[in-house]
Amino acid sequence: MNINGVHIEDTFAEAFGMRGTRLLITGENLKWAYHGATALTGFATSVIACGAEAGIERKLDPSETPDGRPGASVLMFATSSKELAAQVERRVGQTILTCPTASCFGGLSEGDPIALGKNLRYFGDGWQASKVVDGRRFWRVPVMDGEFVCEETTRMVRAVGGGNFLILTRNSQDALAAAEAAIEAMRKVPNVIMPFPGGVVRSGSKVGSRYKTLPASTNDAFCPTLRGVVKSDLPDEAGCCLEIVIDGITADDITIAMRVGMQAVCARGRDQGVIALSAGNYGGKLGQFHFKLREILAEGGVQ
Amino acid sequence: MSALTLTLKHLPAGRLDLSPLMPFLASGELSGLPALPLQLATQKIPLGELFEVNGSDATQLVLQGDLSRVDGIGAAMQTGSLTLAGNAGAYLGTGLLGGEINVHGHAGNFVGVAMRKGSIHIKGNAGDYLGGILPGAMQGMAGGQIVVQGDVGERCGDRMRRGAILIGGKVGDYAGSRMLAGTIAVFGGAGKHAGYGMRRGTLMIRGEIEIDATFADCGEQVLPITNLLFRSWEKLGSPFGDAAGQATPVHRFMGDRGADGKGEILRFK
Repeated sequence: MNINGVHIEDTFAEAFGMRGTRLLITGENLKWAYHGATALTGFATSVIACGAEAGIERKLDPSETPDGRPGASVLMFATSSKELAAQVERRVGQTILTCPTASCFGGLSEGDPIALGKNLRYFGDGWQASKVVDGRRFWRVPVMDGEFVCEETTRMVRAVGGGNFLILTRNSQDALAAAEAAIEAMRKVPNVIMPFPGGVVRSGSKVGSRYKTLPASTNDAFCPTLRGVVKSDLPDEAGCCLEIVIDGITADDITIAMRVGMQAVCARGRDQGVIALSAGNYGGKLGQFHFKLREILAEGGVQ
Repeated sequence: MSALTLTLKHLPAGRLDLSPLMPFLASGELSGLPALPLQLATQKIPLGELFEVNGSDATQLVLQGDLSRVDGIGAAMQTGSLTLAGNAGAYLGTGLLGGEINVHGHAGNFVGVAMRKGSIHIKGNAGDYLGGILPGAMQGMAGGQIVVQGDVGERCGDRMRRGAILIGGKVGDYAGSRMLAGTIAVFGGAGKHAGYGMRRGTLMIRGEIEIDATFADCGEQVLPITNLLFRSWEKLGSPFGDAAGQATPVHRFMGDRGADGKGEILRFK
C-alpha cells in the first residue's frame, strides 16, 4: 500500500486493556483551569514509571461544565482499577486542590464510581461540607482562596491504551513537521489522548534488554544510528523515526484517531520527506487489541 | 388510558383525610376505589360519596375542586404525577417517596413533612412547617425537592436532613430551624430567627433578613458551589434561575453557634 508516495507497512499496532476516567477541571478563567489541568496531567506519559497516562482531551466552554466556568477535559488511564483510583486521588490532591480557583468534577456518565473528593475532603479538618445537586454529591473544602469544590466520585470504565503508529522520514525536521500535523488533527478527535510530550515519543521500546533488571529497552530496529549494526527496519532513505501513542476510551476511538493522524501524515507525502508509516507491536501475543494500519487507512478511503 | 381524575363534589364540612389514597392506588386494584373508606372529621365515608371518579391511569392522578380542607393528599406517593387544579389542605405529600406533585393553588401547613424523594411544586403559597418533621421523628424532610413560588409560613425546613426547598416569595420566622443538612433558598426575604438551632446545611436568602447573634459573620465571598446550585435551578425559571451562569457574591454567616454551628446563611442580592 502506498499513499502519496508514503509506504504503509503491512503491520499492526498492539494495544492493551486499561482502566480510564474523565475529569473536568474548571477555574475562574481558562488560564487557571489549564494551570490545574496541565499539572494534573504532568509526568503522565507512560504507566511504566508514571503510574498513569493522562492528557488534556479538549477545552471546555462554560456551557459544557457543571459550574458554568471555563475548563478543560482530562482523560486518565492506568493498568488496573486500584492503580487508577490511587493516581486520581494523588494527582487531584496535589494539583487541583492546590490550584487557585480550580474545581474538579467527574466527566463520565457510566462506569464504576471511584473516589475523587471522597477522601480529599478530610483536608478540610472538619470544616468540609457536602452538597447534593441533582443527585451528585459535591464536597466543599475551605482553602485559602475560598472553597475547593470537588465531586465525591468519578466513573471508571474499561479503556484501551497503547494504540500507536511510527512515522519514518528522511530527517528529524521532516519527522517533527509530520508528527505535529498528525497531532493537530488528532487533538480534534474526542475520547483520546496522546500522552507523550507534544503527543510524540522518540524512545520507542522493544521487550527485554541485555540487562537482567531492565524489562524494556530501545527499539534498535528503528534507531537510525544503529542501521549498519543491527537488523534494521528502517528503509534506506529513512533517517528518523517518531512514534505517536494513543490512549482512548474504546478501540473505535483509537482507530479513528490513528486514521486521522496517519491521513495527516500521508497528506504531507514523500515530497515533504515522509517515507513510510509503521507501527509498534510485540508479535501480537501480549495485547488484546490489534490495529492494522492498512485496514484502518483503507476503511477511511485511500486518496 | 386517560388520567385518573377525582373531582370533589362539594367542600366537606370538616377535615377530610385523603392519606390512604396513594397506598391504595399503589396496590393497583382500581375497582374498589369508590368504596375506599376515608376519615371525614369523626366518621368514615366511602371515597365515592365525596369524589366523582373518572379515567383509569393512576400514574397521572388529577384532583379537582377546592381541596383546602382535604389533608394528606399524595401522602406516601411512590411514583407518577399528581396534579391539583386548586388548593390543598395540610400534610400535602407527607412521607413522599417519589413522583411529582403539582399544585396550582395554595397549600396548607406541613407540606412534604418527612418526605424522602420526589418533588412538590406549589404555584401559590404554603403554610407552616413545610419540609418539616412528624411528631416523634428525629429528622424532617430527607430528600427530594419542594418548590413554592409564593410565600411560606414559619419553621420551614424544621429538622430538615437532606434535599432542597426553594421559595420564590418570603418565608416566615424560624426558617431552617434545627436544620441538620440540606438546602433552603428563599428569594423574597425571611422573618426573624432564621436558622435558629441549625447544625449544618445551607440557608440562602435574597432580600431582607435579620441575622441572630449566634451566627458568626464570615464576610463576603464568591463560592463556586452557588454556581452549581443556581445552574441546577435554572430550569425552574425566575426567580430561581436568575443568578445562573454568573458569579454571585454571598455574605456568609456560620451557625447556629448555639448548636453544632456548621450551618450557613448565605445572603445574596
